[in-house]
Amino acid sequence: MADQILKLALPTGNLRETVANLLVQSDINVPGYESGSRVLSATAEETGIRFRIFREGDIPIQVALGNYDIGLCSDINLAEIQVRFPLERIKRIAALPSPVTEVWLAASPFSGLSAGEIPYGVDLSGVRIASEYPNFVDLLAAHLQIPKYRSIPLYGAAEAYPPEDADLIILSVKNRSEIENLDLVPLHCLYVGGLSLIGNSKTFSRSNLSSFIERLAPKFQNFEPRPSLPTSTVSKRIVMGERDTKVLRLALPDGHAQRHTVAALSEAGIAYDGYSEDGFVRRPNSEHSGLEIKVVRPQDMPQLVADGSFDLAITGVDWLKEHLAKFPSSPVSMAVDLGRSRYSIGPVVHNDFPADTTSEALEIWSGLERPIRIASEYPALAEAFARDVQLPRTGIIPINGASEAFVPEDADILIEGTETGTSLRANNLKMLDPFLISTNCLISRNSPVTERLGLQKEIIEILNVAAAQNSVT
Amino acid sequence: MIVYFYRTLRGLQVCTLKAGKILQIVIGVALPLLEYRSLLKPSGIRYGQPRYIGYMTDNFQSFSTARGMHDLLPEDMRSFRYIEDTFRKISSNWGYEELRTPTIENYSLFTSAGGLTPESLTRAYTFLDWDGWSGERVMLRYDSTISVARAVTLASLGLPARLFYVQSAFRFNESEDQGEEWQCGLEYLDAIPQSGELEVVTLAAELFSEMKIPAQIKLSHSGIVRAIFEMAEIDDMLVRRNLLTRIASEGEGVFSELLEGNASALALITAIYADVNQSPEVLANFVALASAGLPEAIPALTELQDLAEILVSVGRNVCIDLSMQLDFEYYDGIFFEFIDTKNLKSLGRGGRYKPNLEGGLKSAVGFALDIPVLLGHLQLSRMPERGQVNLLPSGKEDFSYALQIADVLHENGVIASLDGKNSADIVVEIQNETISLRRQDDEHEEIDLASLLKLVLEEKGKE
Repeated sequence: MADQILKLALPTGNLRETVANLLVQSDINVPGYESGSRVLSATAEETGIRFRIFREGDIPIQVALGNYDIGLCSDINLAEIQVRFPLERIKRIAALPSPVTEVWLAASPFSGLSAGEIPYGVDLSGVRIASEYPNFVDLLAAHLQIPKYRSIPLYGAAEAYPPEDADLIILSVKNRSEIENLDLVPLHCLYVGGLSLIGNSKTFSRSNLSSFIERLAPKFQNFEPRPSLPTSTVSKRIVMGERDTKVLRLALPDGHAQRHTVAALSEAGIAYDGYSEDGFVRRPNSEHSGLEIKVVRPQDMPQLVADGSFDLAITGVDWLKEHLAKFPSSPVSMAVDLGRSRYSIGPVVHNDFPADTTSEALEIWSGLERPIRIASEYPALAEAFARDVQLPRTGIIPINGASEAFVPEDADILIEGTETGTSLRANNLKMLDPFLISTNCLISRNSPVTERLGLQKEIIEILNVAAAQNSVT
Repeated sequence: MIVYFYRTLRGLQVCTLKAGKILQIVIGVALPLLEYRSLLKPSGIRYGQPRYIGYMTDNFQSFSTARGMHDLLPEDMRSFRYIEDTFRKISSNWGYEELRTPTIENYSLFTSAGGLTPESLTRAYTFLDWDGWSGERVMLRYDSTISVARAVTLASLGLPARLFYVQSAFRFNESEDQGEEWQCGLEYLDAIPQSGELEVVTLAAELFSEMKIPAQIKLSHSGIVRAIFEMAEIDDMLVRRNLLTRIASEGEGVFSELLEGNASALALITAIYADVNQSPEVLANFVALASAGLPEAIPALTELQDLAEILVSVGRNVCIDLSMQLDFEYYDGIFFEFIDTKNLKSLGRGGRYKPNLEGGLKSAVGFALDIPVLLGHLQLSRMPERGQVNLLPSGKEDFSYALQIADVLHENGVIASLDGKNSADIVVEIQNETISLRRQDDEHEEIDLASLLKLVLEEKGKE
């Protein structure tokens, strides 16, 4: 076994196959990382590598924190963090072969802008910019000195937002034609990046990582990511979309929540053309005149209902509570508990942790005299938990997923949801006392924006009756 | 070596250990070693992982300030109050009134054109507050000037308005050493052309004279670069900004691209960049060169010439540096910097700017002191502590009389405290309504209250 264990952060998701092949080709043995494997962490004793799998966005943070010596991640995720937090805690060691990704600023087709036309300053006043890259949004808005812009940070599906819910978006695509195929207007390519090998600056300057770097070195590419801010502008006022209050706007979820939503709707006798268990279009049709439907991420829905973009949305109680924990004065509340997709949320610890209840655990945590690290996809709920149980000192680590990998090395507690506990058990984890039962639910705005109040009431009632029948049966 | 921190009934305790033995108690009293070990034991033994034992090495963050934040300790505060008091006095003499703006402002206030530069915005502390669901973000006050202009517009204060402030601004700093910066600044809003600049520069010069800091006034004008942009027909703000960035890094060579073939204008640029410390007399030469190649710059040069002449006529130390790189996007006329002639450090800066807010406010002149430099300067000369009296009652029956003495001393502006500092200038013991002065040789001298007061006031007069 090697003298020193190298801690390596590897990506899950789209990049996993590319990175796994790259490691195999470089003769770096990381058993369990191969495509299709469900292993989240392992130690390869012969090579002295301990690897852990993260969502891409979490890798630069883990490397910057020093929890991992080396990581492989896309340049774009690194740039999104570095434009906001420019401290040089991460060293980009080299580029590796991978498909190139571009980050584009694009406009709604009704913006009055042509390709490449970028207004400046007051000509963009009040503009709504949606993106999964909110730090890029701020950078661009500062560069263009936009007064009163509204940043709409998203979990995903940015392309679905214009023209009704955003005037500009920043999104990652393969190339410019992908923007055009989405019926959007390409304005400027803000970033071109690929895959990078990154390291913690301190570790890199003080530790010998050569055995790992040497093996990957033959694969290094002569490629530098290319950030680019606009250098010229046009004197032209952007045409901004406005919320149509004469329609009722309903948001439906994509992803895992889709199956449960379709079931809840069908039980109420509702079906929308273009939204089924098998697939969806972004704008499904309804028989109800005056009902406008859009499919977006459930995590983004409470915010969209709060700001009046949508009147109703079907999301999870977890995301509603997370939103309300962050913004207690938000005008969003649950209209109907649909009762499906039920799971418990609570503190999750390693199986070896010598406590089975939160109060037992609290005694141990309180005695540690150091910050208790809580990782969660629900950072506001994690903070609320720490406050409610009066943990003396905590560090909250917001994460994007693959959460089971964090405990115990990188976090003491996970705030996590589990339906049956199978996944927790498989990862040698256990939940203490759950503090929230999450189901899917219909949410609405306390002071409605739509003029179609009758239709809103009708939909709420239909779903309410169906949910009540479902809970009886 | 490991530094252990733990909490006991007696409060927080800290000690350093090596090989299980207490080497040093840093704060408080250590528990007996066995008891101490038992405090660490439960999680350590049962969990068996070093990271759960509950120790921190090197850095225990409870004791450190947040990144970039600093305590101002009594010695710093003495210097700071001296600067602040002097600043208040001189500003008030010129008719300026104090205001204070909120620590948290709406982010959008600072994003509008002319608010903060993009570079500045990337260094602001911004966050979503309780109303963040609406998408409105807030930020910690990055700079006071914009907040002051906002406050005046919001309250519809009469113009012109002369205002000053002493408050902190919050800026992220890559070196992580300075996140909060105290500002002593003033704004003359809707300032009358020429007399506005003259008033603010003179006020600042008086301030440094009062603090006995030898200062030189360095003058410049944003109108020269603007004139070049206009001549080259560069209207796009992004193109202008890009050029200014290049000028800052590459120097005057960038002007050659803009003034191609205009030999007189290029001669003016060469003359400007020849020296960063030129006599006000040079302005006449600049005007002559501009008249041939850059006539749009003549009003700016003449304005500068007029101001410099007046300042020189009242004995101020003035120099011209038109290559001075301040924020051209922000300043809209004459701008200036005060330089310590001994160490060449900047003491403060200001100039004419456009507040760029909705409302009638079109132009203003501002100035702010560079507090960290001034604090460093004053601490070198050590601000003295004020004289103090330490009152020592012998028993509990003497406290009442000691309080009466304290009252008399306080009314006369003397610092006096009970059982106060041993290092106090005067130590007084009180017993059975008798006052005795403890001399340096530890001998005692009986004294009445009137004589004590006289003695103390004499001591105070020596400060």
